[in-house]
Amino acid sequence: MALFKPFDLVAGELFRPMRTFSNILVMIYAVAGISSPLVATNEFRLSNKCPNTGLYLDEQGLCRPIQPYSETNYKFHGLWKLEQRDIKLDPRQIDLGRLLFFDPILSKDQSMSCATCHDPKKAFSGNRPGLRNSPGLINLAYNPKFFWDGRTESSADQIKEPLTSPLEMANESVESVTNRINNISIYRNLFAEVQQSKNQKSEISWPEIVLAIDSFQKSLVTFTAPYDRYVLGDSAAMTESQVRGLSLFRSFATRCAECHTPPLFTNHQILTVGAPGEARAFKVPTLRQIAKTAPYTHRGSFNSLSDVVKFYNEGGGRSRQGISGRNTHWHVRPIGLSNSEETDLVAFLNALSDDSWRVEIPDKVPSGLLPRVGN
Amino acid sequence: MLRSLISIALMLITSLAFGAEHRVAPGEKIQDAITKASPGDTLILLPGIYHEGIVIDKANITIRGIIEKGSWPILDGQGKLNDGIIASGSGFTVESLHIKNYKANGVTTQAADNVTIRHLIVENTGIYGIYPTLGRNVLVEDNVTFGIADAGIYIGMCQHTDVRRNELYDNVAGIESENSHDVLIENNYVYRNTSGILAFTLPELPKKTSGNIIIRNNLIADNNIMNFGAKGAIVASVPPGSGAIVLAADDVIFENNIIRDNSLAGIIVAHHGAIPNMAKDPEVEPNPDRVKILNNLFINNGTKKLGDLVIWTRYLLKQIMSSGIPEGADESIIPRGGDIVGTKVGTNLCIYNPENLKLRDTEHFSKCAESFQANPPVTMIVDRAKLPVSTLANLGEQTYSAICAGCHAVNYRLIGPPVKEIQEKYKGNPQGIVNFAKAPVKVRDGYPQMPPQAYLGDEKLRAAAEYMLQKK
Repeated sequence: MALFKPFDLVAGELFRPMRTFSNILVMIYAVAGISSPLVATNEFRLSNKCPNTGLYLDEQGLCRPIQPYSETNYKFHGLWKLEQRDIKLDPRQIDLGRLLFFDPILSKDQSMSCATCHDPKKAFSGNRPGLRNSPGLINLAYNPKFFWDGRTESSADQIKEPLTSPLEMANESVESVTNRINNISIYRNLFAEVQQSKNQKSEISWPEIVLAIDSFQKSLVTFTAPYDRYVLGDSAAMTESQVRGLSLFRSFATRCAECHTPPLFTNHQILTVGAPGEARAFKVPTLRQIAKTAPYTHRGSFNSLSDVVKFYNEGGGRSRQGISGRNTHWHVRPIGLSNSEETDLVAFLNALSDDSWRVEIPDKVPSGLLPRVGN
Repeated sequence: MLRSLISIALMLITSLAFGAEHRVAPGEKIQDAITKASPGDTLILLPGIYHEGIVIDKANITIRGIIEKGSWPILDGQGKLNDGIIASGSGFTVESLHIKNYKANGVTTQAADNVTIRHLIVENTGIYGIYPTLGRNVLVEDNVTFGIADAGIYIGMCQHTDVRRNELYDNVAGIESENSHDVLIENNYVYRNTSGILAFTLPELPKKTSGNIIIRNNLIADNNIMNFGAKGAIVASVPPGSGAIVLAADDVIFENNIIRDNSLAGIIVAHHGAIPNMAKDPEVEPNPDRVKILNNLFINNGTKKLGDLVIWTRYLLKQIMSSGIPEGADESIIPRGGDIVGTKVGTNLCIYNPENLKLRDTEHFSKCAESFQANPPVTMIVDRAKLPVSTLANLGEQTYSAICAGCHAVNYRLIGPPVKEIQEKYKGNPQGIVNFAKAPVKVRDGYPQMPPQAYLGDEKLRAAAEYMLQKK
């Protein structure tokens, strides 16, 4: 298969003329009705395996969430129910989305990728001083609403906003992003490959870009933390302190589970808890991988989980004066946990992280730019 | 005939295989017995005092107290423990216990279906006495609940629930149905609470509606005590002297109740604006619709005695101090009592015998066409077989489905390797699987080490291994 290496693998911008040349070559091949060796050979081959993010490959070659919250298991274990969604993702789309996600070509000045703010080390959340924290992307495939304030219900709209926000990637329009991606031959090859077409795509459309990025962000699934193993009967999966913490978490003394409802650890509601600087209602975030996403709250007001637990223990916004105190959700009120109970609760929150869960950060991306991760 | 024979045979096998009894005596830990129990087992609690908060995360567990010569098994949280019983397994039954002095709830079930809570005394808990949440097919019967700082029985976001023959007194609220559907509240004695029976649709919860609630054949009397609900709780806003309140719930029927001596109102039918400080939720429709008050016996509601006025004044001061004058103040703060009090909002509301009753703000009610429901349902609980509950007869299939299938799927990798690969490796060698499962070692990179399953015992392990090897 590997006849020769395509030119554009050598860092992009310097070789634009050659890339044009290669495109002409591809067109000639296309007109001649034979497959282009440039398309067939590509250092960026898309994986047809599922990434190690809580997915398995089904018989049709699609990736589905590994999740034990099935009817069979409900028959035997005390499990909170998971609202089932038919999530099937094409592994090649996921992989293509992954390249786009880490590629700073998406931002106007080509300095920022999605991963700049959605840092894989922080379970795809991020701290942005002065702005709202970037919400984590864990189990996003189960979200009915996006953004802290839930202002959109479609991932296409969600993807568009950071690309065009002047505070973020600052593009004038999605067309300018589409144009830049279309200028990169490797992307045109990869978008062809993902559609199992032998010929390089002449034009990549915006919905095709959205589909790839969305497939990647929907692939970030986890239901395989120590908590999940524990509730499925592996009593050694959590420590004694974590088990005590789970009892506290679901007790009406704390009411944590009322809003952070297992197994997603969110009930998707938009409400006020009265965190510092909270002038309006925000979406209940999932607590999965929460140990990795400090600092906490939409503003990053708390540096540790024990600070968060202390905040709720003292009554959250209810103990504060003013607007947020008045609007605080009726489940939030002083709890009266002892120090050791606070410790147990924090220990339990650590049982919601799956440490084997990881995303491969690409060492290079099709634009030839350096992949960007974190800020 | 054959079918019923088979099902009896299945029941026998199931009860033999999975119906062990575990006796617990005072001084022993109930939680230890739960750890040992398998789905289908029964815990027998002998009379005496237990200081424990227990958690049950297995399906089909029964906890049954033994009452000897009037002496009960007592779960006492001593004001220090949080919850008496938390259960999340479907098919959970608890009966014949006295549960008291917990900071949060007496008994709560969380997302469990096919729940039975019966024959309990629940006393002095900080939030709810009996609280099934997010369940389907829930039966709450023959319980006595008092001294609860919120609702004695609270049906939270459930479907198909019967609450019958319970006695509730000295609570802030007697029985409360919150964002639930298909609820029958029947034959209860609900007296001397701040408020008797509540059918609420509340904001900021994942379920956004209430409907098909029948309140029938209850005694709802003298619900006039001081509201001692915790500050900030919605129930702390519930006005004393209210027999029953419908708040934003739809399709509610009152039928054949005796409703007497409630000093504010027999029944209040309210929208959200009438309750102080109610949060606004755009997905919740805030008005009560299709509420039918059919033939009920109303006696002496909406008349305040001196003691009632004192309680009312304290309630008002507390409201104003905690939240200011609410929107719709004239409807909720100034006590204009009666048998039925409306809040001028809501559609398709009716009263069967308006000419007999003392009414306030019910101009938007029409006269109901009928005095009783023509074909009233006997129960809201549906066929349990339609909900997921174990019907597996075979020990191997039971154990496999309960334990192994959590991590092993047949054809693909779930958490551990697929069953197909295990079958190749252990063909004709079930004991090999048993030996491995008792003391697993790490075999493959990228797979978590399997947790030891020795606690299941040889019999179940062997049966599961044999089942696994022939699984298609």
